[in-house]
Amino acid sequence: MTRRKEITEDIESVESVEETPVVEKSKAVEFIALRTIKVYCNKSFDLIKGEKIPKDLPKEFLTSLTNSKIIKKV
Amino acid sequence: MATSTPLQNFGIHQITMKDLTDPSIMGVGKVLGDVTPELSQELIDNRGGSSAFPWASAPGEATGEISVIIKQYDKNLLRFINPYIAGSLVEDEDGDTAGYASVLVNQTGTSVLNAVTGIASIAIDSTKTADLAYGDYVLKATAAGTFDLYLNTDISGTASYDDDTYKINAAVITLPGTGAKVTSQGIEFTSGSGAATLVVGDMATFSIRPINSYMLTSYIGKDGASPQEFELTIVAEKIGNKIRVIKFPRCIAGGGANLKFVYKDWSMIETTIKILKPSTTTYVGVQEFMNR
Repeated sequence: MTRRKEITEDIESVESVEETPVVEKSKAVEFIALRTIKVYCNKSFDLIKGEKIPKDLPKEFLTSLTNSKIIKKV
Repeated sequence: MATSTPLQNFGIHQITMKDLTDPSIMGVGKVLGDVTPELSQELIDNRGGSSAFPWASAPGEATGEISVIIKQYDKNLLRFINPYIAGSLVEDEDGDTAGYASVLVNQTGTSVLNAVTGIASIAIDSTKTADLAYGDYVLKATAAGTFDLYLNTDISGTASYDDDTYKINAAVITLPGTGAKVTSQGIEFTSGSGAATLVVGDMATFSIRPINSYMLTSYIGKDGASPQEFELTIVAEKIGNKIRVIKFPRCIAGGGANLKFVYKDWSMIETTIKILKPSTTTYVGVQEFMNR
């Protein structure tokens, strides 16, 4: 009797997993400016405190601007 | 029978300084003011008794000096007028055909010139040479990955001062890190291999020259430099077929061939050349008058 109950619970557990599959959503990383400042990244960009950074700001400069506390990820 | 035309002299055409050991080294001056040899000798009087006038007079010390005004600064003129040693004058007759960037040198701290976390090197960006500005730069870190540039002169007109600190970048320049580059003012700054971690306030210096077709660098007072003896030839203007020349086989100059800056006028070298006794000739100077 006990063995039968365990098997039933295992089946329910498997069914439960199949009913709620894990879906991984990719979230786009965005940066906002921490200061109102003009930065030069092979061309000049105006950053405004609290606003998103310009989309055409080259990606290779993002780490330095982050480490310099000029922008941060949101 | 008529008398001959008096021998006369007019103007100045040229001076030539010729090295005594290597006569192929000559400095020629053409843009000249007055060139005035003054040879004088003291007379030593023998005075005594009730005579108001000397009883005798005999020659004393002689001096020979040539005051020269030269309104040009060419290499071999500087070689003979200023104390000289190999390396005093560095001439590149083709100039910096691609522009020139010196090496970056840390001045305060060691984070700016750093092969990993700073700037690994600087170079001229060949696609942006029109932006190059002549002068000595100071690069100052303003954050882990940003810096400002300061320049000692705005003479090129391609870099203007942004504020009273003589900073030339309006926007703070970002050093990308991990080997990537940023170009500002035609200068390519290559990041070190890792993330940029400049220390705020650290500074480094470098120099830039835009593309040019001639470059002469003259070091004044270089260690080991000494005055060079030379033969001096002075040539007057030619009037018709008349040539007037004076030569001094052994001379030495006392310096003074440095740039002067005269308000709204051309600058000139005003120097004195001393006439010496040669051992190779029986005279100190010789003057020639060709044609009346």
